[in-house]
Order: sequence, then structure tokens, then C-alpha cells
Amino acid sequence: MSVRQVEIVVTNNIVEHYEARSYPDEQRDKKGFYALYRVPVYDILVNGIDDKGNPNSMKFMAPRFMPYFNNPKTPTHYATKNWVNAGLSSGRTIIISKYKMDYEVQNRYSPGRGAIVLHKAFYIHAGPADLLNYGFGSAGCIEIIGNFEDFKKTIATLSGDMTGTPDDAIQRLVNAKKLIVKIEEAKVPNIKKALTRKVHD
Amino acid sequence: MRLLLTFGLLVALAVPGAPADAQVMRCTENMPPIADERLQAALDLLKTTYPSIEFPVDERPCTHAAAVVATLHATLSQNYLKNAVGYEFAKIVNGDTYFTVERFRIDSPKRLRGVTRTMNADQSRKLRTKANTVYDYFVADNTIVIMISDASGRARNAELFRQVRQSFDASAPPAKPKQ
Repeated sequence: MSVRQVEIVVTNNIVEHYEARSYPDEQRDKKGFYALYRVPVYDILVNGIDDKGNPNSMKFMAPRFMPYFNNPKTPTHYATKNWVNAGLSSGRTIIISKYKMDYEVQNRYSPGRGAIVLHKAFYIHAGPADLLNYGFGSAGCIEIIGNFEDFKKTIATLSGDMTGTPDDAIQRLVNAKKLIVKIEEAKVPNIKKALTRKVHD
Repeated sequence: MRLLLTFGLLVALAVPGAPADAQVMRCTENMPPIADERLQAALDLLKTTYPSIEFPVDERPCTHAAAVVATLHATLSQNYLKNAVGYEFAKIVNGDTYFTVERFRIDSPKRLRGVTRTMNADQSRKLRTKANTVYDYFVADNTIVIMISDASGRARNAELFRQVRQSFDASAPPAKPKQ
């Protein structure tokens, strides 16, 4: 069975805001409070053709720029040190060549598994359950807010071949070079200036 | 590798009678379960001390096991866990931090010494993975118990892991008398 092409559009349309913490290092003060930054949340569209041949588009949302801080005093394996407003800003279209179906979000708990690899360590993967679930961080990955399984099911349904799991369907799309991600050009926000508050756990 | 497993044969076993929110998960593909219940008991006690912690369920424990083995292989540059003969784990949400407790049974004393020696030598205790994660460990008889934590929650989760270790120490089987 041949699969239908599915396109994910990472738009530059801001629909909400989310409070993120810096990643890979949070900025915790001596009293144990860490900083939260207000980041824009963008429309993410999943476009394709449904079983009746009609164009179909489903909306999701995600931040695409996140506060990145790699403390130079205790650097992690990430090459970039210090502060960066991290994310992919230039417009591009990517034919996805890798899907990590077993990928687990490890810095915060999320039941959603799987990662669409965009470029090097830039992925699309599961994110916070909702906008109130503050404190996720990433090095610029696009973290889908809400139920990541719904996101995967939407891709699978539009592919037209639901055999097996949604992960199987996404893998078939990738194998067939029919999973396309279009990233719209977007202005990088000045996240460092968007400190909202400091919280304690 | 015994822990690289096909999806169709995955088996997750909850311990009967245990509180529903203290969930030990097991991969029993090609190996018997670790049957001593020490991890479950330690988590039950942990829940008593820290009532707000949560234990999310992973429906694909063998997939998780394979990912952990691969990450530790990359970190330690040697695959000490490929011949593990038992595996169980738990995921623990501790406020806004998260960690897992992974337990591997390794019957070869030489291999168990190898993994502990290599981990001891790794001062950074940072895992080679995309995420910013750290680890700690202790040995309980022929098993190694490993904590994998998000780096930002390291200190807070280490405190809980210390209690897990204390529980294991308290439930250690009596030493065999010397002949």
C-alpha cells in the first residue's frame, strides 16, 4: 500500500505563550528559586489528504524557541556554551530521513514517545501536557503541547496506512520520504529579556 | 543482546497487592523476573516518606530497557549490561523533576565489578544522550541499581535514591556463615 504525503508546517503564527525554564542548565539562585521565561507558542499544522481525497489540516501548538543556558563553569556535552535563544529561525523544507520511535523525553516526565529528527539534535517530540504545565526546557526542539499520541495519530491517519501503530505509520512515511516538515521563517524572540518569575519546587 | 526485544513479546508485570501508585515494571523477555520484591518494597516506603511522588506506567518496559542499555553503553564505552539476566525499573515524578530507578541482575561477578569500576571512574556521572541527565548507582547482591535523573533535579532526586538504597541495605539477605 502506498502512503500519502504528510506535511508538518511549523508556522510563525504566535497563538499562545508558555513559561519555560532554561536548558540544559536551569538558573537557580542561592535560595533555590529558578527562572522562568515567557516564550511564544506557534501554530503547528499537520496537512494531508484524507481517505476521501479531500485536503485536511489539523492544528497543534508548540514553542519553537527556548531559553538555552549551558553553564560554562559546569558545561554539559552540548557544544554551545552560555546563553542562546535556541531554535531554528530560517525558513526551510526538510524531507525527514530519521524517526526515533523509541525516543523518551528524559528531562521532564512525558508519556509521549518518539522524535522526528529535523536537523542534528533539533527534534519534534512530546512536550508539556498543557500551557499551565510550566518548566519544560529544550535546546530548541519543538515540543508539542498536549497529547503527543494525538499528534502522531493525525500523521498516521493522513498517511492513509494505519497498519500497526502510529509509530509504524510514521516510520513508513519516513522510509518513503513522504514526511515533510516545512519551517516558516520566524524572528527569534529575545527570551533573555522575557523573565517572568522565579519559582521554587 | 538479550535486552533488545521485539514489541510483540513485551510483558509488563505489576506486583500483585502493591499500591497502584508504586509501580515496578519489568522486562521478562528471554529472562525470568527479578522476584525478590526489594525494589517494590523500597518504592512503597519511599511513597510513604514522600506522598507527593508519582509513578507513571510505561507500557513498553523492554523498549525502555533497550534504550537504557544503549545509553549506558555509550556512556561507559563498554556494554556491561548486555548479558543482564533480569531487569526491572520504575519511573518517578518528584515535583517538577523526574528520575528513573533501573535495576539489572548481573550474575557474572567479573562483569558486575567491571561496570562498578567504570562508573566509579566516571566523575561527571553524566549520561551521553541528547538529554541533560546524570546517574548514580549502588550494588545490591548480584544486581546493580541505577538512578537516572534530569540534571537539574540531581540533588533532590539523589536524596530519594539514598532512601531507596537504605531500604535495599535493610532488606539484604543475611551473609552466609563461613565454612
